[in-house]
Amino acid sequence: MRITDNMVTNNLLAQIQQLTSQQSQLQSEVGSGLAVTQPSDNPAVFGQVVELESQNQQQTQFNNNAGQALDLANASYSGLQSMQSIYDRASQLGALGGNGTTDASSQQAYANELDQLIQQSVQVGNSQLNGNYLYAGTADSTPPFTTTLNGSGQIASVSYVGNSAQASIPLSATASVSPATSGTTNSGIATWINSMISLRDALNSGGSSAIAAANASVSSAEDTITGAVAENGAVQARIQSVQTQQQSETTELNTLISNDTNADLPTTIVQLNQTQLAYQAALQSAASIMHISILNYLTLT
Amino acid sequence: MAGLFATITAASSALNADSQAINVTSNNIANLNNPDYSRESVAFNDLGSVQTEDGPESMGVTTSLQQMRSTVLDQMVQQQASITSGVQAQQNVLQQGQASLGENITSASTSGSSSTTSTSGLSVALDNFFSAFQGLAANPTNSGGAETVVEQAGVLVDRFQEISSSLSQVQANADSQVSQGVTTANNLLTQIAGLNSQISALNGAGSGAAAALVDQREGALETLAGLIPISVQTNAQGEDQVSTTDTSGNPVALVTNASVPNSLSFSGGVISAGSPPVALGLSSGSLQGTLSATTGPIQTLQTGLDQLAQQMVTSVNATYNPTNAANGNLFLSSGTTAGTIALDPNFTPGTVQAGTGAAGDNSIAVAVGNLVNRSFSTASGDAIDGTITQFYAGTVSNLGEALDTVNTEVTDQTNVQTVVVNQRQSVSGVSVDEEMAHLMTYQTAYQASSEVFQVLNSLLQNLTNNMVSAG
Repeated sequence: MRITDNMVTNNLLAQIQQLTSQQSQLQSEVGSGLAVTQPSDNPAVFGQVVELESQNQQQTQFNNNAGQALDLANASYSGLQSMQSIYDRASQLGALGGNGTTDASSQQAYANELDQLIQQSVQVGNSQLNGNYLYAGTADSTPPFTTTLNGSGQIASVSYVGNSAQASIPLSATASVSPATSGTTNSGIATWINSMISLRDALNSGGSSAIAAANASVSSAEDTITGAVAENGAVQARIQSVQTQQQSETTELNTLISNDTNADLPTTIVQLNQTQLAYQAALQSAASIMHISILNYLTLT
Repeated sequence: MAGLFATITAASSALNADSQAINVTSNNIANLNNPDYSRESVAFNDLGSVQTEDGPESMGVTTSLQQMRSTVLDQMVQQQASITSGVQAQQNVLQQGQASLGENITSASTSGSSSTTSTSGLSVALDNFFSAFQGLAANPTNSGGAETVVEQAGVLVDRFQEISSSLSQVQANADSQVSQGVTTANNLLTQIAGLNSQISALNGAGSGAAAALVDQREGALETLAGLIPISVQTNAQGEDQVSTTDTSGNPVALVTNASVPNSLSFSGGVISAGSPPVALGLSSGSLQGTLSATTGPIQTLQTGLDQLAQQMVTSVNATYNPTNAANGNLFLSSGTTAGTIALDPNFTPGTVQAGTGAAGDNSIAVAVGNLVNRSFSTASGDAIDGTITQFYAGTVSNLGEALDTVNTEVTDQTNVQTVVVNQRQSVSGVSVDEEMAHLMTYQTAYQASSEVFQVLNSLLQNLTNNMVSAG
């Protein structure tokens, strides 16, 4: 084949162009650590990464939700615990007042203490987290326990005005959890407070059979709270297990995305070195060919 | 023995021929870097000899000019130029499309597998939108949650509109590029017809006279071939007949002798020739490349985004406002394309509905958040198939696929073109080494002829002197 000057230049330019673009591609892979950064780099992988990233984003949100659910469950639990200790003291007072040997003035004193406990119970029942009433079902913008006062300014009765719905927080695409107390528990709390009111009134009036009956009803009403505590424990355990699962899923997703997109650094670096070598060789060989021509040897006279 | 004067004539014709050859060599070297130029070579022809009383007498030498041009290779270069600029034009448009999408993967760190990656563009806006609702579900009375929902919905709408307007811009640019290309092509056709007329006039004046014009015409033909595929035939007068094909494959003459019978026009996305316009069936060239990329992958992308926007508007509104209450929608129900999607003006942080009824109810937020996992089906009347993320990922992949294919084609085609251009260079290109060697040969020949002249001159002088002294 006849080789002309422009062929040498054309070939050289084409080679240099190709090698430069290869170098630039490999360099950006090494620099970013990613083999795929744009849809055209690897369309199938890019599509997959978009889906995986979407799952990852959801997972992050579900993880936040789980954190919030746990906060809510914790807050509910501490309220329930307070109610339990109130109950402990109330049943002590009931037993002391009803043991048949206590005089009327002591019974009065017990009734007064019990009244304090009743007020405390209502306060606990109306406790809030982030401005939302904890034991109100989903009607959480208004206090769920309202009281009626008697002539002497004591609480005469408590009624539950929340609803029986229970908000469930999504923890995954399919699972959700209801960390707040159920409607049954909430109205049970009102029943329990009302039973303590009966006990207080019985202590005030001093009838031993009335005190015994009131004691029994306080004790049976408290079962609701004990049940709610157990339920809450189960909910917390479930949220924690979901969180653990979410963490491993997030790790799994990140690994998948990395596998899809990350550049194989050792291979890429070796390829980059090879390309650099080829580039240097092209430049050097061209430089040595291009300045040689017959003109170097001819002397025209 | 031949007469001295006859020999002088022969020697002078040799000097003429050699200086002509040196002239051609000089011209070749001067055009070393002219890409349209085709090297010329000199052929020496003996003028023959005549019989005289004194024996045969040479009549000297003459030269003829030959242009080293191969029609076959020229046509191959034209065809390849057409294909190359076609795929390059597609690549150009698709790259703009990909840039409009703004989807890319970035990495937070480069420490191997522990790096966190993230995507950008509409995919993130979609994810964030649904996440905002899932977040609202966890804390329905939190005003921050409502703010986030409105903010993310706003970002989503903006992204849709930005991408859509950017894609429309790509399409508009492509159209104006094609219009300009058609104007350029028409100018080239006129230029080629003009050159045809000059070439046919000069061809009467002797071989090689029109060489420079032929080079110029070949350059114009190759530029034209870059725009539309052409087929070229040269007639006996050296005039190139240029034609292309219509949609049924029949030839449409673009240059006949020295006239342009059918000039090109572009209207309504169709390139036509002549009046009344006949639609052309173009298979390569930058005009066709640009058009096919815009009507193909870019239009598919635009349609996909419109379908996605429609699905979002319909299902989010139906879920967010199940009772179809007045002013209760999230998106304006009238805007169902990527370009027109908009938030309902009544959708503000103060009016965000997390649920129905009680303050702590989160049923709506949960339902909207769960839309991200809902699988749609066109068979049951939806606008898209699969989940929203799947559909969008597929749409993006499709464009990536188209660009990836074109990228490969461009690389391959560039290699093919380099080979063909080199083949032609091998025939038509100028080699300095070769020209210098020729120059030396011609110089030596010229010097030798001069010597002959000098010898003849001294012979004649001797003769004249002797005659004077004899007289």
